[in-house]
Amino acid sequence: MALFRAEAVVLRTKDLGEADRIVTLLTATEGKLRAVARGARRQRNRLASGTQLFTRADFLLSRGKGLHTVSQCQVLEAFRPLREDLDRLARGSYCLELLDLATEEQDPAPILYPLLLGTLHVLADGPADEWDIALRFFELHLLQAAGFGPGWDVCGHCGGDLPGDSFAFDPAAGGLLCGSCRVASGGLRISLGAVQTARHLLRADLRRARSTRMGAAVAMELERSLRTYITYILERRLRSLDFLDSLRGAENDREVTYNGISGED
Amino acid sequence: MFYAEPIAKLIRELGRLPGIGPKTAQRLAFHILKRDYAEVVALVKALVEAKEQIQDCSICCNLTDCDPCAICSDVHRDRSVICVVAEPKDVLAFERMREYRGLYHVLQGEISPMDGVGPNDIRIKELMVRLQSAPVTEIILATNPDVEGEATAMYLARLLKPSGFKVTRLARGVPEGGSLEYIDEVTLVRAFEGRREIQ
Repeated sequence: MALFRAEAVVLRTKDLGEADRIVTLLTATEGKLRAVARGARRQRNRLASGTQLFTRADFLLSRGKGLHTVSQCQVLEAFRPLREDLDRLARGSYCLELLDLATEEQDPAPILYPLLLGTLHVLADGPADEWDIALRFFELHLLQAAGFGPGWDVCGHCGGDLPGDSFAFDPAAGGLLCGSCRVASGGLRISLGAVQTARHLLRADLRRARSTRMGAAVAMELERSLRTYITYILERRLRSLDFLDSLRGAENDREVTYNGISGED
Repeated sequence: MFYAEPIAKLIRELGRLPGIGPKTAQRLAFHILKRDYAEVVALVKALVEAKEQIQDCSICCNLTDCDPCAICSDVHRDRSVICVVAEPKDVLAFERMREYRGLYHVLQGEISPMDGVGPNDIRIKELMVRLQSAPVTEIILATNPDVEGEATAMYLARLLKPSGFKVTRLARGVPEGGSLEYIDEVTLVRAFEGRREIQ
């Protein structure tokens, strides 16, 4: 059986049988793949700690047709702060779930691995005021890499320029609407500040992005727009958002009902 | 269908059990058919009785045939300590230890954000109600040492600590009889951090 090595982050785990575990991995070179870790739920199994959520490890895998098998793994980074702080954990879980849902298996997108690692580092080690901007950076770059990023430069409806500062964000049109299309088609109101922040985050690298400061209103608006967009694109609400919202205190206004999709899957 | 309908139905039902694939279901079905009639009736009776008689203990949420359960109604147990576990089988693990004489609370699950299991989906509310009237001083968080278990323990600690309870978490590290050479790095770091002075 062909063996191959892959550095990867564990995106999702699922129990299999008595003591096995199926892990979904985002590898640095081969994209997302799934592998079974035999015995990983037994206390003394050497795969137990390397196959936990968030763990970055060096995996030795034997290639299978659909499901690979984890032969060995060596933990490179356990991201312990993500496991030991509820607020960091909730945001980290959201990143893993979003990446898992927005990508297909064995479809390598080299940008995704450093994007996930960078974001997890900010969430694990960065101060609380950098977490939300890191999440918006992650969402925008992930959507773009996956091929369905919203457009921020021309009207998604008529293709024309976006003069002035009166915009709407329409997930069905794939991004912003100009003033006149907004009148005709509707969409969610979005301020110039939120649009400029999104454009800036798309151009910036993570190091520059994390020093960006957003006002509370812009942060809320951008989060609401992207969350509604993601729910529309994926046709489901991410489960980890419920937990994140419950920690932040029932902020249900961060998402609005759009075209009949209110978020429940 | 290759089998007579009653056999096929039995295989189908057995195949619904966790960890039982089609081949195992088939083997079990034929095993049952070969047994004496009385043995099969005893098995069916056991299944039905368990389903009918087992309920959640109204105090600790453990599975029991009498309410309150044997542990909650035992007057010799220490009522000042509650050990919070995820599943009924964890209570059994602690009882096998024969060291712990306090009470339990069974959450019947663990918080798992990615699976959509939140605090309201497990028995946290019941624990909070119970603590309002019970003379408890220490709460031992004995959820599993994985991401979900940690999340549950952190959530409970956040709820319980402001009320002045002593909240403790099980230690983690090198297993008894283990060999350091084969311990993974994460466990070893935990063991190192939790080292204790030899008395």
